[in-house]
Amino acid sequence: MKNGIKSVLVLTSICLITTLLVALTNHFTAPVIEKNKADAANKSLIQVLEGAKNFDKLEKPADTPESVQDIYMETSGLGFAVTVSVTSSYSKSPMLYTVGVSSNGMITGIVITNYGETKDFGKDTYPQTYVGMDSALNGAELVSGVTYSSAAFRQGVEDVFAVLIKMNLIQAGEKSEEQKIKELLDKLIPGALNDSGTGSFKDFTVPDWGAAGYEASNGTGYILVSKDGTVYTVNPFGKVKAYDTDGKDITDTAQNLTDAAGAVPKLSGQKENADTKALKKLTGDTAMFTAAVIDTVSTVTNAFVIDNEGERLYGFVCRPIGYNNGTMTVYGILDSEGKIKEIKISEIILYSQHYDDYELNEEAYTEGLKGKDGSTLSEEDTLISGATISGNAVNKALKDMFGAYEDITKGGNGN
Amino acid sequence: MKNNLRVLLNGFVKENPVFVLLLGTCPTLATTTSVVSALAMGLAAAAVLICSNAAISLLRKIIPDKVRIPAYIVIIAGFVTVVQMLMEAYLPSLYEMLGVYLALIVVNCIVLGRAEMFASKNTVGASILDGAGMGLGFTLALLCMAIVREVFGAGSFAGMEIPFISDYTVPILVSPPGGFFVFGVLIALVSALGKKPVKEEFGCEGCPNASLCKGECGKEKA
Repeated sequence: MKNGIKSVLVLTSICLITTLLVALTNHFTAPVIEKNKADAANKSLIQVLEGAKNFDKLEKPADTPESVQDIYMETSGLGFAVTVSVTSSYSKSPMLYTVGVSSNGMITGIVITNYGETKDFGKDTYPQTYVGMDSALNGAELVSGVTYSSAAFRQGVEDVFAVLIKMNLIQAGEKSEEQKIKELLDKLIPGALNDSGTGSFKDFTVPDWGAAGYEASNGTGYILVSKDGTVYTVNPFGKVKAYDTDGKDITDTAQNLTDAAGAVPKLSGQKENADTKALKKLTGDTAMFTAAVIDTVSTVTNAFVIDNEGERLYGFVCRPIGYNNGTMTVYGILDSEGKIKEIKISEIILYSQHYDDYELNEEAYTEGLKGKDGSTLSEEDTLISGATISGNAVNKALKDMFGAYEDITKGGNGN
Repeated sequence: MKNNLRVLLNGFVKENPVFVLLLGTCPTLATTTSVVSALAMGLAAAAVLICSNAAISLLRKIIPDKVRIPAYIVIIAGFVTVVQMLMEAYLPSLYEMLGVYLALIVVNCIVLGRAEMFASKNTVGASILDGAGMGLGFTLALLCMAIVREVFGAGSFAGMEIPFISDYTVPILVSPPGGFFVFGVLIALVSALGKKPVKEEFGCEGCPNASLCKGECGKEKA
């Protein structure tokens, strides 16, 4: 008992003395540490705004994007410095950087203070490509092969401008026509977007009346821009819509709708091709396929109404963008009630080409999806642990598949 | 005096904590990619060793046996925190460089090992010498490894590029497998250098052939 009390007293005393020692050290070092941190932060602020000496921290508006950390105004009116923190799917730690914006709304400098991405997008050179740009960010390209990290970086810069414009500190820059069109690509062909919301397009040759042409890399649609600035979208089923450069639907008044449809290859509707062969593996060879037409632009690239010995089924082929911007193919058979009857997913990750040790029980995964329809499918159903991007792509494809089913059955295009 | 010197020098080669006692392997492998970080880690650990050894030796008669390990850990953690705060305040770049490994000195086996094996049984003066010897021995070991890894792996010394060598680097040396390789080679080298030759003596006692050869087998034949 006596020994026990002694042990408690001695240990408690040691803890108290140690605490006092640490507190005493903290008393002397805390102001120095604070000053060091302030100097480091100030250093990055001064680096991005040449000639700056002192900064005042500004109050952030209520709905400031999460990526914007702090906003500083240079006291002599040179401009602003904004600290940013963004993450991408490939972030080991948040990417921290400071953006300097002059009072006339131009980027004066960007300094990265922490870069924790798995691949380097050129952290010393890439941010410098933004210097001199205004809020339109005209010419700010993503880095090929490091698209997720560079898209996150660019999004952070966009957020900086958004908050400065919202606070009426700078004027918004004017976007060029080409820039407006490139931004429209992502909005008009959503099936070409990857998990981080960036579209994957390649140029294609346009007819004489066209000025530019873009083809979704996964075959989910085309965009043709006419010389008068009209933007035409053509989905894989040959359905055409027209928009102005602000994204307003002008299909009713556009003149080149038929020409636009004829200018791109129609991907869907072929009676015998790889898609129908793959779907017949799910239904059986005796099934009769009739090509269907979908009006919407999504990841659905082919659709069929199927007569399987008297049973009405619907077959769809979706091509979402998956891991590493690769195209996945999701083959699905829905029953007459719109529930998944059969499904087959082919994708790079499932073939273990990228992860030697990666194992997915594909049969169990697809079995778990059977019987689901648009109202019962959840994100948990499609989640692939360790391969989130692929799981999200499957989810997107299935939602589009259910949408296409609705389009055929309710819209009457199942002929 | 001679005994004190022996205590101090023990940690350098004979009982080198890294190459002979094989303690503190984690920071050894992690911080030896550059000479500067190795030196900083070694000196930080040495400071903690000297202070904790002194404090534990001073309190050795007061601390009950039952609570000695928690008491040692509290003392060591206290000194590590102090060193951490001082480095963050006055050597911020080194503090950034060492990162989490600075805090991990708390669980460094060398510090707790010397507290338990030496400081708890010896005088304050001897314990300080032991802490200094072990700490400097640890620093020396880290420095040796860092020199090999940085010079041949990165072609630089303390961040300064070395002409010629920088064109013929072996990058694997600065990666974890290279660290293990250099560690193994240096352990073998220290082991070979520290080994005393054993004089082999033969005798006939217990030999089943003794009656036949009559002790002639061990003799050289002309």
